[in-house]
Amino acid sequence: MSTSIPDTQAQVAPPSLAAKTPWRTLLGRIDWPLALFLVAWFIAVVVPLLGVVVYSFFETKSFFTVYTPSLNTWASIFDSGRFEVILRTLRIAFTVTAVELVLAFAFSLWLAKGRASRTVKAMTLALMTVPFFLDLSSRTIIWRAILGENGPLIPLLTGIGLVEPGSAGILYSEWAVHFGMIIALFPTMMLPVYIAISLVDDTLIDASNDLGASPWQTLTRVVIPLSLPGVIAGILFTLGSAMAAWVEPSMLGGGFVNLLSNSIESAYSALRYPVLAALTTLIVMILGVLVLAFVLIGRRFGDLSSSFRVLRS
Amino acid sequence: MNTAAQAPILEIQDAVHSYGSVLALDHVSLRVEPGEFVSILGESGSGKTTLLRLISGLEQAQSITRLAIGGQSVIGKPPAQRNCTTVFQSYALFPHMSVEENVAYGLKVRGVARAEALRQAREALAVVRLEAKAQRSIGQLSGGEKQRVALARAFVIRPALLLLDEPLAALDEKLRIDMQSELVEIQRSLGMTFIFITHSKEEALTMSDRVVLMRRGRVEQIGPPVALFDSPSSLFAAEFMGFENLLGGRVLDTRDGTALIELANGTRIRSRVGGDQPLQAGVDAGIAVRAEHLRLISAAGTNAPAGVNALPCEPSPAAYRGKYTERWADTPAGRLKLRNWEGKNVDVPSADTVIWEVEDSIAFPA
Amino acid sequence: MKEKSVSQLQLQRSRRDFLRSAALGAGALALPLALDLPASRLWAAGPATVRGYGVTTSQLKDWSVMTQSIGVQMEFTGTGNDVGVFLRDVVASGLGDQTDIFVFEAGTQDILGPRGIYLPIDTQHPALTLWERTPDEWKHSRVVQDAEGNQWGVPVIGNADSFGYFPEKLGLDPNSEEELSWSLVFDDPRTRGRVSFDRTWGYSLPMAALYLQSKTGKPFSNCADLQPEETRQVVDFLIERKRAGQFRTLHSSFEEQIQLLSNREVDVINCWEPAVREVNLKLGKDATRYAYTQEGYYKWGHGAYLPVQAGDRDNLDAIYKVLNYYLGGEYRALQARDRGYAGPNMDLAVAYARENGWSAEDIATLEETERKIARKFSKPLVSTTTPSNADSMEEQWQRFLNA
Repeated sequence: MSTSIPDTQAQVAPPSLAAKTPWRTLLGRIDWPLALFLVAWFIAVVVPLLGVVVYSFFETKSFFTVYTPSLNTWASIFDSGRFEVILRTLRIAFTVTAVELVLAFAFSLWLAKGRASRTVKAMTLALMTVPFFLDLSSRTIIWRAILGENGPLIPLLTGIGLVEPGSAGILYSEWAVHFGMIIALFPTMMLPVYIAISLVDDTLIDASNDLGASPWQTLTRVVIPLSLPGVIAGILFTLGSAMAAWVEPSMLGGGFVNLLSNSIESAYSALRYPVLAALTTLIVMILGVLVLAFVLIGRRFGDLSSSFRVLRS
Repeated sequence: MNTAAQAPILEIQDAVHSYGSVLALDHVSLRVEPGEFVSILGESGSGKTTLLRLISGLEQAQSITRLAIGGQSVIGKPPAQRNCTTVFQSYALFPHMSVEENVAYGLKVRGVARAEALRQAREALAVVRLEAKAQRSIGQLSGGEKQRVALARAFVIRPALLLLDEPLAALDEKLRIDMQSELVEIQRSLGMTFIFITHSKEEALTMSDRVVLMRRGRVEQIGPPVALFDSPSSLFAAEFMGFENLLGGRVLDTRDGTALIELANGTRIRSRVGGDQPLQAGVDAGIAVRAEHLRLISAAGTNAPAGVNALPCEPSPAAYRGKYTERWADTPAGRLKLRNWEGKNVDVPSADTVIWEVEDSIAFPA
Repeated sequence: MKEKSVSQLQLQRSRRDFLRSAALGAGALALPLALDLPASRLWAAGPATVRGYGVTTSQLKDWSVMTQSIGVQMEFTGTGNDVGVFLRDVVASGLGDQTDIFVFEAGTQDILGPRGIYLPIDTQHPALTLWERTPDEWKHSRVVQDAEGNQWGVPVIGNADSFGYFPEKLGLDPNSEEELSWSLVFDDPRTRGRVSFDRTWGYSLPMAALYLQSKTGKPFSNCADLQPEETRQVVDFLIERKRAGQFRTLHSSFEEQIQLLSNREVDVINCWEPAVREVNLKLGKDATRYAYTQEGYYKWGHGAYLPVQAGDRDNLDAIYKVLNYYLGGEYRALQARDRGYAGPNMDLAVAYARENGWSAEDIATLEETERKIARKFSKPLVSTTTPSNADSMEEQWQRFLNA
């Protein structure tokens, strides 16, 4: 509203000035980096996404896309069980992320704020980065040998009476897929969480203890809020990787745990781009709904942004 | 020992603590009475912060005979179960909370309802004159304001004992002097016991009821500021308290709180005995005299006046230092420093002797 | 066979390829693709040079051997085995303008032939001297013909795939060459829960159809290109078998095939023949065997196809000389020795080896391959990588995976 006053003045002013001033005011007022970012974001993200949505209404016949709008592709998504694949993928990804968060947080807390010596810390962090240099397939294939019916796990579990003799092992099940993903994605969650926790000033923890907080209160009121940026980064990285998991469901699920990547790969082998487009559209929609729900719940239960004050101070 | 009617608010007996091979506390004992403002003074590495952390419970002593707050032993108890709070050197304010949330923190974790906790927090902020900034975030405060928030956060829960870990070290000089008097005022008005860690002699002397001087993990001397300033009980205490002239000799005789000491060149000096340890005849002793207590006279072979110590000397010319002048005087016992605050009219021509009152020289075991 | 493993690994890159292909679909069809072709290439280079483009492993290790034999030089640009990428390169980038011969896995002729992108093979061409003597199961197979029987290519390499098994566990004589039923994979109570099934729909669905039609006695129109309703029948059968616990696992790579057998996790697996060879190197000779079957085989093969533009070129004779060379003994023998591949006219390979003084052992291996191929090719075969019903087959396969 405040802009109306200078504008009227500009109109009363001499024509030569009037022609320039509103533009100058407007240009001066625009946050250029932000505007450029929004334009780039629109071109790089929104436009392709719209293209993808449009594409999902075509179909593929004999390796060629038929550009006649129809709902056949969408119908096939539900008929072939691909919709369940999305739900299954989301379920497994969220379960893995949740388990990972608990494990990684506890582990990072011990490593960053526990009594671990400098050497132990350095060694542990170095060991955590080793998997990044190894191929995921070759790491996962080892678990097949261990979890399989001829591997050492079954005799071990039988020995301590946990499973019946002659059991087939947990290989080729959702359990095995969860297990493999939790092992593989642990560093992905742990490293950002560890960095965030180790950046929490020790004297803040001392202060909290000193002011009479129990260890649990210190954890929930000081350590967790202050490490939230790292926790959120860890959740995003892990969730993204878990959604895209390809090796573990193939190798440990025995092909019976059909996840999104496997389904996409299969559709690609018949060049069914509209199916891929429809899957992408569905995932973006589901994630959009989840983010919206997250924000709404967040609003109800407190001001999330307060956790980021630490970044500004 | 004096058995006071009131129990001490803090009692430490024979605390020993070390980090690796470094002995941080070497058999330290301390008693603090309710309402006292006690400063723990020492250089860095003297063990003063370790002592504070033992009291607060942030560190558990390796060996301690008794550690009691308000008469209750707190050995082995976590910080949360000790009736004392700390004002940290770095303030340690929670960056994700507003000013009032910070202050209310100690109340909230004790289960005080949110509204009541915030009300008390605002009261505490009023004491430190920060009620107007209750809603601000920590990043928006200046250093002095952060200091006062940290103070309010610590005293709002009414601890028996408030521990302050060099709280003024990070402030600039003017602010520091203002905060010194403000801290004392707050302490008086709250009637709370303060234990104040500092490496600054001025802070300790101007603010405290009693000063604990620490050195290498040991308590060097405990006493009111005046006692420490005027009657150091050791060479270290004398040096720390700014005595410029330090001499050494052997005790010949003691009488009425004074000692007769023979210097290496045979000159005899009578000196007040500092601290509370009596000096025995025959032991080695140190003598400390402040530069402003030395005077030059021209005695020309005559005996010095009675009750006054005298040493023959050869003075250097006075050096002008603004408000005062300084000069050196070479004596058989060594080089002494003299300071004169009274202007140039006291320049004694052909001065050949330096003299000082018995009262102004302090003797202590070497 | 080895390049099938390349093909499978290629699938792992599908997500990245999807991005590229999505750009294609979004209307970037006209964008030229930067190809790594020799810059010095000029059409005036002379009739003795032929430009090939296709799967890397179809190459000779040293093309100068061919130049010595037939006086034609080869300039070959290698590519992967991804049919999506290949189709896009040929269609969208007009690769035929610069290429004389495409060598690729069977199936592309079904799409590119009728669309006028491939040149029909002139089987009467004077340079194609070996065409008459080449067996029909190679030259008239679906590797090189479309559904209507038009000749779009010349066979280069191939094999007939069945399943590997442990004879000892199934109570079979390891030395017997008896024909076994695919029921060992799908139906047999002895193998329940002891079977691994390939999770590639293009490979496994035709095999299942082959078995199901002989079980029910009602043949499908084309096991390799099932009609949507037929696919549904086959998948219903597979889902029923899956729920009955027939399959212990599904595999998706050559490495997995080897691991599943060498760990003895399964007793039967529909796999590639080299997997059995690898496992026997570990577990001992004849520990596992590759089955001769009653119902038939999945035949795969690579063919050489010509772009329609080649028809007007002055090196067309040289191009046909190369096609003829693919049918000859020298190429056959070298490919069999260097890569272990079979192909048409294995007898010419044996003759070539004898004439060129190869060792008795090498010759015996060639003969054994020839005999085996001849036996398998006498059975019903299914084959194609680009069924016209790919979309419904893929979709129904998902139903099987998700059941």
